[in-house]
Amino acid sequence: MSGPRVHKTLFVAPQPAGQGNAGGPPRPKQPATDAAETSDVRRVRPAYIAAAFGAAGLALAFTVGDAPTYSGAGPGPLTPPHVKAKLSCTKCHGTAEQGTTTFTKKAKGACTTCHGDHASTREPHRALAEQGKLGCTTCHTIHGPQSGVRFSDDGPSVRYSTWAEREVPEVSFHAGRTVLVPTIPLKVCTGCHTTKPDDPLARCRSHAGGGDLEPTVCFDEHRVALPPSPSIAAGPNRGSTKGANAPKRGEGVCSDQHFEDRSFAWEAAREVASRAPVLDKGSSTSSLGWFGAAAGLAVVGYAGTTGVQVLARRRSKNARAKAAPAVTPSDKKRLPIIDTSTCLGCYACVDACPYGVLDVERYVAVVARPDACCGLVLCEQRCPNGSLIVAEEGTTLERPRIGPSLESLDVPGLFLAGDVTGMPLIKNAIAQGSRAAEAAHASLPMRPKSPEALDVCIIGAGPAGISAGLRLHELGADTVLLEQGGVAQSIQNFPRGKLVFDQPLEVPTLGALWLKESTKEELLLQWMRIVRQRSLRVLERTRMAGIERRPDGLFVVRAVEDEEHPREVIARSVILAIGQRGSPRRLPAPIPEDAEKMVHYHLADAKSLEGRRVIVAGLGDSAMEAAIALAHQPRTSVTIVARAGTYARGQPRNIAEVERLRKAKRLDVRFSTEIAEVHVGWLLLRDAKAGGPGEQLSFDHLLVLIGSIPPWDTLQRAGVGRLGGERNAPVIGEGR
Amino acid sequence: MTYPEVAGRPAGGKSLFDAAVLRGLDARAQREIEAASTLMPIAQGKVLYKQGERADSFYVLLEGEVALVARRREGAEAVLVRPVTPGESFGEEATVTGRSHADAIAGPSGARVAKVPVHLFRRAAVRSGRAELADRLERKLQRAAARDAILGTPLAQSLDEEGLESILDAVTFHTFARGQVVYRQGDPSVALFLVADGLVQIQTEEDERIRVRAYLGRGDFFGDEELESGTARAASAVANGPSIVLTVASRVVRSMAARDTELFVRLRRVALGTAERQKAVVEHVAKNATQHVFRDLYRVQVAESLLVIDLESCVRCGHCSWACGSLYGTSRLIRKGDKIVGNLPGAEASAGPSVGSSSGATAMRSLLLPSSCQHCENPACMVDCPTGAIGKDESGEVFIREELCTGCGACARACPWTNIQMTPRPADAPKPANVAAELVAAKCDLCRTYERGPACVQVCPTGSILRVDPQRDWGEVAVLLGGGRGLAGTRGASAAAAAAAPRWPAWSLIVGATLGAAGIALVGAVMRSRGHWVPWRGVGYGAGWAAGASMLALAGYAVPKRLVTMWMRAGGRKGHGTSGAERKNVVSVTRPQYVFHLVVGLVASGLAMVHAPQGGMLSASMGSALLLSLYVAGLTGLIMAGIYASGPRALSRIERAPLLPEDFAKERAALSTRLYKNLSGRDELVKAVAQKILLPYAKSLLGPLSLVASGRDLKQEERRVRTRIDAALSGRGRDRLLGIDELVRTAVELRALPAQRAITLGLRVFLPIHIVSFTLALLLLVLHVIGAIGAGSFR
Repeated sequence: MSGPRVHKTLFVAPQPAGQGNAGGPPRPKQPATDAAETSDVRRVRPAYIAAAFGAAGLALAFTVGDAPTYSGAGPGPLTPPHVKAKLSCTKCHGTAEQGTTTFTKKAKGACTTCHGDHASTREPHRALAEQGKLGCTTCHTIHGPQSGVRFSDDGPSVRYSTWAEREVPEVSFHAGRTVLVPTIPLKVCTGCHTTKPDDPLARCRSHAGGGDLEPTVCFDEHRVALPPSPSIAAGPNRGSTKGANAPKRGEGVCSDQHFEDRSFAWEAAREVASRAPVLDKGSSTSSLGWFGAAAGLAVVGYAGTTGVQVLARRRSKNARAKAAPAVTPSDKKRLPIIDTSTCLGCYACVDACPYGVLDVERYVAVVARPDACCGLVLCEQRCPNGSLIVAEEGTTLERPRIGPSLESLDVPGLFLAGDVTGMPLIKNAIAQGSRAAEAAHASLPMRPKSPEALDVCIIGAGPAGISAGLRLHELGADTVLLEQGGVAQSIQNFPRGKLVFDQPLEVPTLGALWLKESTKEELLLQWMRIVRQRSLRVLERTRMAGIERRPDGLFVVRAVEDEEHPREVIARSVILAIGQRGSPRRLPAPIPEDAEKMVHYHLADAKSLEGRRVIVAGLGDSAMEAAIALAHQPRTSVTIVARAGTYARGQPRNIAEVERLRKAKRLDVRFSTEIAEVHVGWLLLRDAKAGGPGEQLSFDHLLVLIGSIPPWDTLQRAGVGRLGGERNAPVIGEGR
Repeated sequence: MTYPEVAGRPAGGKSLFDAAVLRGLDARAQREIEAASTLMPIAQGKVLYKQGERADSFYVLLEGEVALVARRREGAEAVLVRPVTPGESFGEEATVTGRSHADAIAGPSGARVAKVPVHLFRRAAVRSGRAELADRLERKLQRAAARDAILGTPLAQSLDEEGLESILDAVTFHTFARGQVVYRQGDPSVALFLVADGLVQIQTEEDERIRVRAYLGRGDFFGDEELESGTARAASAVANGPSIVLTVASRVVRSMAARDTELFVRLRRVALGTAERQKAVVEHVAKNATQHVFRDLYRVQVAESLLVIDLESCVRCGHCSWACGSLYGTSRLIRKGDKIVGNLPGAEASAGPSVGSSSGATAMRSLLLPSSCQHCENPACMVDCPTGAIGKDESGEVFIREELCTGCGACARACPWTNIQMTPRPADAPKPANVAAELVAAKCDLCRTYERGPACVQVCPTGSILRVDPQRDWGEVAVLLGGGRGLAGTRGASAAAAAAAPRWPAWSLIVGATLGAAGIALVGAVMRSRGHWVPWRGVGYGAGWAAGASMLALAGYAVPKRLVTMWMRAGGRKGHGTSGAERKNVVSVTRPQYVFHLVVGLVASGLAMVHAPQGGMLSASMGSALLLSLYVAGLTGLIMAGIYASGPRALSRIERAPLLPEDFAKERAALSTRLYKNLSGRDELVKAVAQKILLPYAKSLLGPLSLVASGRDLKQEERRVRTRIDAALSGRGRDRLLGIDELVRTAVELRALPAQRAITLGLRVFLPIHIVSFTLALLLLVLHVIGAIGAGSFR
């Protein structure tokens, strides 16, 4: 491709999306977007709620579970007897320093305050004690791991430790009072001793297991087991620094423990200790449990919130989409009526109309092409201030007589769906197909039964037919589709790349048939995929030749396959989804047989006609779209022959483009002209009004796009009466 | 200057409609103009507007007097054009060129004027049957504009005054919408074109790519070359933005050329000069960058405050969008849009701790242009608004007057970049009378009603979101468009430059904090094991309190930035002298806080290790639970910081455009549809290549991982795949590979998509865990402290 001489390529940019070959920056106008909440905004809420749930989980764990013991700012917990005695810090450590919670005083000698002086009776220990190297707390590490055995008179024996208690009911010792036997963990002895067999400690080990918390079972450390006798009480008060009123040996809080049966208590305690050497700390909830409970609830909160968000979004989306689209067409012609005194000229209605009915002139909306109006209220819905309403006009429309369930009022069991009912738009066709399918399925029990008959025969595999087929397939009905061309032929006949778009269709399962914004190819691709996926039975290239109703009420659909093999389908119900195109309208001039293959009634791909001379008859949307597509092919010469004197119908953008191309001499338009004669390779024109013989044009291809004949004949033969036109009585004779 | 923004009914309302231009309007038109016009008192000697300033309104003098003064050339002496007397209108020239042609200065007694938006006047005039008035005005002005345009071209040299007049009779004005084609390649050459306003690009299309050959702005001409040779158009001319183009029919040009043989030579010389100049600029910065800002030059031409997000440091947290949403109910910023490459002045400094130091100050960076109003020079939304609800203030900020908005959506459709959304109107919001107006148009207004300026920019934790003025901050754009925006240099200092101001040495702080925290923890562990440091006394005790305080500081990062509505105080223009220009230059306040948060987080963990016994983390105590939650929060925080630092760059390499997590499924379907669509109708060889190479490549399970690991960007990856295909074909069937490039592109995107999704997820998934665990830690901290104090006072 040779560029201009002056301008070499400056910058290469990707083709903007959805632009086809037009080039240039993105499409000038998009539909107005409604604000939507993105995940950016949504994502924090679940996290906050999860945190709240987590906090709640923590609170719940506090109230329901075991409260965790506090071990934060102190040296550690006390043994249960001390806890029971409500021992406080000041008891042993004196007062804290002014203004702090720090205790500087060591509690070394504090035990004797309550317990009296129980110095060790073992010689080495006593020697150490006299040197001040061994005190009560050296072995009885008051805040460290301590354990013991408690025998109560009325309950089972209990093995306790700093963290937990456990009942050992197998061993009991009854002394008429509560007996406590502290057991020292091996750990405190191994500060000086070793665990070697030759160490004196070996004799005291319980070998009950438990590592360095294994209890030692030499209880004779302090030896004295008897209650105080006056002689002992008068004896030397070794090691005691307390004053006269300090408890003496055998006195104090533990005086009731010093009895004759103490050695039996030791024996029982040995037994208990060997049965339960170490108590599991984790018997109360560990921090992992706490955290787990809170985290679990947080996860629940997060998932719940996200779920609620998704649901709310779906609901609002559904609410926004119009409630089930209208499926029955109205009887009267409806047209937009515009209040010019309030119209803003904002183009909302113009953009909403898929047919280009409306236009804005002098800043006020006008109904520019009333013929193209489909009577739906898309424009009314978009008008911001109610200046536009769609109201019925006097003229009655021509449409088949059908009831609200789309069943023919004349032939029960025969349903109609799609364009044939007089309601245009692919979206409506999809909705109608589904509605007809449901109605047909619901009426099946009332229809005659026969083993040879299918449940439903659908005629036409366009949007309505496919939709009906899918719905019936879903409902489990035995269904077949007959299609004279291929699946979705009507859509395939759209020009290449045509944009088909509208609001999303919020009907479950059918939503899949509708793409919010797509080209014809994408839509087709999607449908092909669905048809294949659901293995819908479609008989392609099978043209319906007639429908009869047998005396038993079953329908016999006569069809012709590949134009040669007749075949019959017997069905209990029939859905007619044959569209409204019917057959293309033909030229009034006769076409010689040899020229037939040069004459086409639709244009599928303009590329195939590249470099040819093409004459397009007609100036409707499809003719203009075809002409535009052809004119964009290199070396293709395009002539439009139109009977109208000017652009009478069609979308504004098509008109603008044809006009542009005409000015650029890329195509030629002959207004007020009609084709008088067609010959092989040339034709004769004449003036549409005056009628005089016109010029002679030669061509390679002649595209006839002058509309189509509605399929009234077919409907009439099927017995469907019509409104608007002359009313037909059912013509299906019983037993014919 | 303070005055009511909407002059409901100007005090001089009667005299406003007595002005010649406004006479004969019907009641509705009067009402509309009243609603949208502004009443302004001007002090003696004050300048109302300057020559060359952009303008979209004309004025009607109600009282006092105004002198119009103009300079014919830059630097020339100003001469009085005319004095304006009450009841007269002035400044209408904006109708055509969008710029004032003279200074308007208030006379000795001051003046009171009404400012009427031109588009609104035109609409109202046409509707109320006064179209001929608007038409006449327009024709006159168009002629003046055409004269200016022609005099600026080499045509002028071969014209005498008479010739010029005859040409002015022969030219026609054409307006082209954005994207509309002036002529297509292959069209017959019938005219010479002059760009009176807007931007036109000359382009050819090859292999699904657009080859731009020239950008033509105001005063440029095109189409001369084919006219000279008499051939069909060799390239297409497409309006890049709404453009006004003057057409000089070929016979006029030819008759001129017949008299002046040098005409075409001169034209070509000028065109060549322009082409050379543009080539020099583009080659310098955008040689192989198809995504450069030049791709949509019109956008950067009209944008005065373009929001860009630096994708190489943006952690996709969505704070920007979230902050906007919490201020306005619905977010006006959607983190989706075109990804472009461009240099970001000051990017080095603005890029936060997540970006390395290798990139230079002019390095090309991946930028996102999110859906957020860019405050165009001549806003399409404003022109299309039927009720005049959209306005532009003197600092260039475009805003919507809710009380006039009917919610028709015309502006949203008009915006070429879909930066306006229709939102449900809040119950308490003002709305026009007699209209249902359930919707209201919403778009970014730079937070003009708030003192501190745009919230999105302020809350960005990485400082990746910036407002740029392309013509000021992107030198190549300014050069390409012919040197900035004319005489009115009202733009303030660059936001990017402000962002580049000395900042915290973020990286060294974080590294230091990490080392410090590790050191503290280590020393703590040693001292604890030796029994020296205990939680309830001395250093250990102090560390506990310090850790608790740090935790409060940590929460102090997360909570306030989420309370946007509290610190964004309403105040707007009356607030502390924040002018529009200053508001545009707001930088992130959250970024230093983010660095601080990281530092404190690390230190807090270290302190906690000093304070708490490590062995007992799983024990049944509150302290243990606190420690556990804190560590979980710290760990997730650490992981997040790591992903924040490395993720965005990896992501920006492999994304065609940034996607929100909810869009991935759709994108995947779209890509695979595109792949198959492009495959249909292609040569068998292409299909075979796709079957054998591209599909397995796109579907490979470990492919995304290897793509990320390789560090290649999409373009390099495309080149690699293409090389693989060429190697596999070993030179056969080169001519049959039409369309393969597009397929390769799609396949590469398909491979990159799962990786993009994983990284996006990775950037997001830890935050909830972090928030929850830290909340628990805070709660436990409170309980822990209560417990500690309780135990301490146990005496």
